[in-house]
Amino acid sequence: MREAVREREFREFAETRQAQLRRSAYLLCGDWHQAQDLTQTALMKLYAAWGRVARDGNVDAYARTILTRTFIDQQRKRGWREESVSEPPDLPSAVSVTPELRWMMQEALMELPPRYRAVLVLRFWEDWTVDQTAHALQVSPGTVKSQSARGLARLKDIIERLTSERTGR
Amino acid sequence: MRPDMDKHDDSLHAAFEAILGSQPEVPLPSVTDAAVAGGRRIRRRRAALAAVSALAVASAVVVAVGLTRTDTARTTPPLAPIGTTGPTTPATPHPTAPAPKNSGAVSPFRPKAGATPHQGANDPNGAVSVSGGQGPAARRVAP
Repeated sequence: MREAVREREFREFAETRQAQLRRSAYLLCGDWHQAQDLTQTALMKLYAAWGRVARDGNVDAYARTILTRTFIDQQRKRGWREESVSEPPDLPSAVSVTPELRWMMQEALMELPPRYRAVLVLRFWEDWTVDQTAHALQVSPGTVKSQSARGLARLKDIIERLTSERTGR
Repeated sequence: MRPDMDKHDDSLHAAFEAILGSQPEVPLPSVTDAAVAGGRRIRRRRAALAAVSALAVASAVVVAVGLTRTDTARTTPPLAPIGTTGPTTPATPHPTAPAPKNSGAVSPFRPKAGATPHQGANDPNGAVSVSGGQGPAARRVAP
């Protein structure tokens, strides 16, 4: 009986939120099928902990946290290593989005190290605070701030490089 | 840092929206059933692991209790009084060898000093008495 209620609650949540979760996953991995796998894994883990998570509330944030951690874990298992940046670059100016920039944005985003990508997606797509992002990624708020700045700087550099490559052609 | 970050908030959010908007979302089936099945599997595995862990802990406790009981069953030697150098020997009496017949008998006659040992002629066991010395039998009796 309790199990049936639990399953019904979870199914309601999963049906309404999985599209949104898949979109976030797509921003992280850049492939719809991978995003689908990532969403399924995240929802699977969420269901395993559903009783506790539902009691604590804020299931949505928990689901996104699982999604992001699962993505980072998967990337880590593939052998990704974060490159150290000796000197953090200056913050770039605001990126103005034009249709031309769309594909470049995606290309640039996929070139970023997964952890930078996760920080940027959580901070600027999910609109999470530094503390929320730090909690989700199990790092300090200072690390989130520095990785946001470095991620943005690198994103700008990549976009500039892609633009110059395109115009130079 | 914050004012600069604020500038990025809107533009980056718009960029993310553009990325998602520019890509036609592939029609993908629902993952709810698979997630429920997988979640159940994870829970079953966790439950099995917890049961095994509990069994291991219970076994360890039983073994530990058994060992403790064995230790307490042993008689511990009494502690030495304060001021002595070491613990006293256990209070268990030393097993003494049975004294041979008549060998421990106190002779009413005190042997003279310098007397040589001789085998008692009337002693059926052939016990040797040491005259004038402190033989084993004599030592046992002597205060």
